[in-house]
Amino acid sequence: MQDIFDELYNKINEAVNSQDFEASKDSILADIHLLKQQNEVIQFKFNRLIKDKNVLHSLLARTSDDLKLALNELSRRAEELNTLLFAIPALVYFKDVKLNYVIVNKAFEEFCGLKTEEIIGRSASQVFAEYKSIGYDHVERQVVESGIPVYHIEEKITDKGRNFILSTNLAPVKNSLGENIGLVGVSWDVTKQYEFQAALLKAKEAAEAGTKAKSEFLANMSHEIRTPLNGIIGMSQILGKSIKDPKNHEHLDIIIASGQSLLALVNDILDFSKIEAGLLGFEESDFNFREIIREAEQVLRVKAQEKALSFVVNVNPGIPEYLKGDAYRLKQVWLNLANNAIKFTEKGSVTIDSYILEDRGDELLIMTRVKDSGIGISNDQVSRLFKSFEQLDASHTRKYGGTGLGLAISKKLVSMMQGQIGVESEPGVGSTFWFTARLKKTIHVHKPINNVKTIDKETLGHKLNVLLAEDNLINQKVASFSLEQMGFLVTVAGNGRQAIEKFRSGHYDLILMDVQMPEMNGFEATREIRSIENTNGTNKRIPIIALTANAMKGDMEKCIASGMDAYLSKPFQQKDLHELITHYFTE
Amino acid sequence: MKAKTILVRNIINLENQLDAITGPDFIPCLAIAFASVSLPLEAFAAVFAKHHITLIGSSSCGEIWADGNNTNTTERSAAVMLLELDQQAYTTDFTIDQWSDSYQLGREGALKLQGKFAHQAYIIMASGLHTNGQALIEGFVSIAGDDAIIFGGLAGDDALFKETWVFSDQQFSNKGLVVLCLDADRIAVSGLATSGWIGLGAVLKVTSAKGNIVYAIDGLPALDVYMKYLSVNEDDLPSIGVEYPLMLKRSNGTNAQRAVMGVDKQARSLLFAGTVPEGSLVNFSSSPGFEIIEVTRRHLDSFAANTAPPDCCLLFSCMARHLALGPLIAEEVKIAVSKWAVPLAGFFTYGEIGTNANQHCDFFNQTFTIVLLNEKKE
Repeated sequence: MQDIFDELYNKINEAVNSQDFEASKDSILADIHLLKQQNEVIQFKFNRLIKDKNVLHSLLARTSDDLKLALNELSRRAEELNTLLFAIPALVYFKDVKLNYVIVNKAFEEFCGLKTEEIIGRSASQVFAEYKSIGYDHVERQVVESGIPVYHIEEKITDKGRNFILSTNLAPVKNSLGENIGLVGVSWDVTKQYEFQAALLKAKEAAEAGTKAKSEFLANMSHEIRTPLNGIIGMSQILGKSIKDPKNHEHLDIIIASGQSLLALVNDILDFSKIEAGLLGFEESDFNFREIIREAEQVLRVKAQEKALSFVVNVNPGIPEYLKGDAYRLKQVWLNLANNAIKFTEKGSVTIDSYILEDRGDELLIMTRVKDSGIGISNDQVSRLFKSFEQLDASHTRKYGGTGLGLAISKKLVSMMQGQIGVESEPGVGSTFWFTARLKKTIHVHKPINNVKTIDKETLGHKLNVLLAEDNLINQKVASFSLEQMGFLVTVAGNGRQAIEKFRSGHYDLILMDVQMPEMNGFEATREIRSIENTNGTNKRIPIIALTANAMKGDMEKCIASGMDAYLSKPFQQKDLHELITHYFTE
Repeated sequence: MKAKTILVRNIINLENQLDAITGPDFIPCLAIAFASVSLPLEAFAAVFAKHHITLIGSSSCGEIWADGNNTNTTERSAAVMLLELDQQAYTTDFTIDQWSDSYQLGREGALKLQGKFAHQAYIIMASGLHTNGQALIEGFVSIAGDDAIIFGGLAGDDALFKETWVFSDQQFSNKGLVVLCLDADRIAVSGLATSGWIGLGAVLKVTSAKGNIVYAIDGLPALDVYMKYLSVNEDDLPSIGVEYPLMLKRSNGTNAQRAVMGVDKQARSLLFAGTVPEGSLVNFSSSPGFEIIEVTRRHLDSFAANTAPPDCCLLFSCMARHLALGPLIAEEVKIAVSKWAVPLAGFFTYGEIGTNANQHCDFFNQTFTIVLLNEKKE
């Protein structure tokens, strides 16, 4: 434009100088036209720029406002989040993929006693000077790599002499593209909880020990009560043989019956106490099922006859002769149910059937059903039946006696035989009590532990020389009397030491050894006797039969270990001892 | 194909120029005209009928004319492209939007021309204010095919924003579509659409819209958004919304300008030249300055290097370019004219139709859309 101005200026000057304006008029006008055109463009550009500037300025200002608002909002939310994060009453941290801290909260700072800037960018082992981690880094790495959270990792931390247990949840953190960028961890100090837990456990153990001690005491007490009771009954029976006056005989029978019912009560309490104390042993040995039932039946047959009840006992022929299990406990349950049936039935019948419910090849589930025509039980009473100390009616206690523990004990025993117990009943019509027991199949039976046949038939024909080791005077008398009645010669030793002395000096065919004796118990004495036998070099091995009052679990093993050959429960029955001697110790 | 252009100021002028140009060596059978609404369009069309020249055309917002040497951008005139070519090589069609549905209008228009030639190319004009350009193209393409060659523009009305017209030698409509369908095996049609507009400011979200009507942006009424962000008054719209259109960021990766075509002050909504889908992201856009001419030059250079010289050109240039470039718009037109030195007719539009970056037919605002017609030599 300046060019056109300069040219126009020259042209006008020339025209003025030459005085011939007409000649250069067109050229000058063309330049002026050109200038006008260019001026228009400049004018437009100028206006346009102002318009653009205004619009863009406004746009910029508004956008800037928007940004400011958005930034304010962002920082407000960030602050909120920060406040929240800091207020969380747990250790919260965010670690990058290298497992270095990126963000930690206030609780975390306080826990490790460091400031945020001393934690950020460092690893756990750098932050916790004495930190020793076993497998914890590995878990964190796994969370970051797999993208799967892990909950409740417990970790012991020692820091600055303090011991902590932390419980931690770890979750992976992903960015908007779904890439793993680290993990967030939330940890709680559960040290206190652990201490509480330990204290609680201690308290629980103490409580349990207390209960156990109480039950043990009760078991021992029952045992202590049983011993004199056995004496009363035993002596009364012996006395009975010499009393001729029927009136006195009747009185003696009452003493015996009362003693026996008291003994039954004490036995129930003993069993129940053992169950409570967890001391109820469970023996597993071969036994003759029918024989056990026959024995039990014989116990009750008289009672049934007295009440003129029809008493029928069936064992299904499918049940094998020999089975493996705890015959004593099986018999106990059978007796309990059968005894109840007879007790609560005034007329009619009691029928007991046993049959196989399930055959698993090596195991049989035997069902026994005890059906009576007694008073029956209503539905709401059934639920209370198998609970401890429950009798359906307080008046029953007076009328029928008993502790109310029978069914509760039976239930426990049945469950130990992996069976069940139950009842179907209709008041006034009768009840059917049933129980199942899982028993193993077996080929034959071994009653004694050792099968040593050292007593010859001839000796048996004469008088057997028996050494009885027993500390309790009443028991000594009862046992001696029994043995003498069987036609044996009896020598009594008051404890284990005396037993050894007598063994050294005399010749005996059999030793009956009480287990619990003062000075030296039965186990020690047996070991000593076996040792003497070895030293003597004689091949003779004297049968030693343990007399156990309270067959606790493990007693049998102890008997074997000490060198005994068999055991009998006290007070032993003549029949049992006879059977032992004839079947197992006689050549 | 023989082509000549005339620039006319009135009916008498048109009659004179037609008489003058027609002779034994030039007997035009087809005219494509872009005329100001200030001209009596019925009388204007009647002249062509009288001369037995098939006419298609639209009203404009400024006319563009070049005869191969001289160039002019004018107002209150008509730019006419006169063609002499085999009448078997083309057909024209006129459709009025009786459905009030731009998609349906495009579809019906294309249906009527289906199968006229083995291969077809289209020059189309539609009433600018009445039509949603995007929907029109979608409807047309639904019949003509996704890769159809379509160029054209939306009729203007000298920035009055009242009524925009399309016409033939027989019909007029302010809600119509006029189509020139060419036998693409005989007449090659190619073109280029270039904008140069750039997005500015924050990206906003269209929170309420239906078709080409936008009710709310970022939860605010659309009209208020324009007034707030550009610091303008109600009456500055729609024209300010043509110069500073919304840039629509489409999910297929392409951007398109959407110019404001109308305002509903009661509803505080804005009518745009093409669809603005609800939920789409937009920002304001502006020409970065006079350098958009350089963008056009660069694009034209590379386009010309790969294109055979044409017999004539049509130019559809957005009215917003005229507003943005002022007297410099002539510079931009001259780039095209000097490139090929052939007759050129065109107009300043309310919207352009051409090929997008994905080589698909698309609807634009703010572009310089040049179309080359070239009769294939036997």
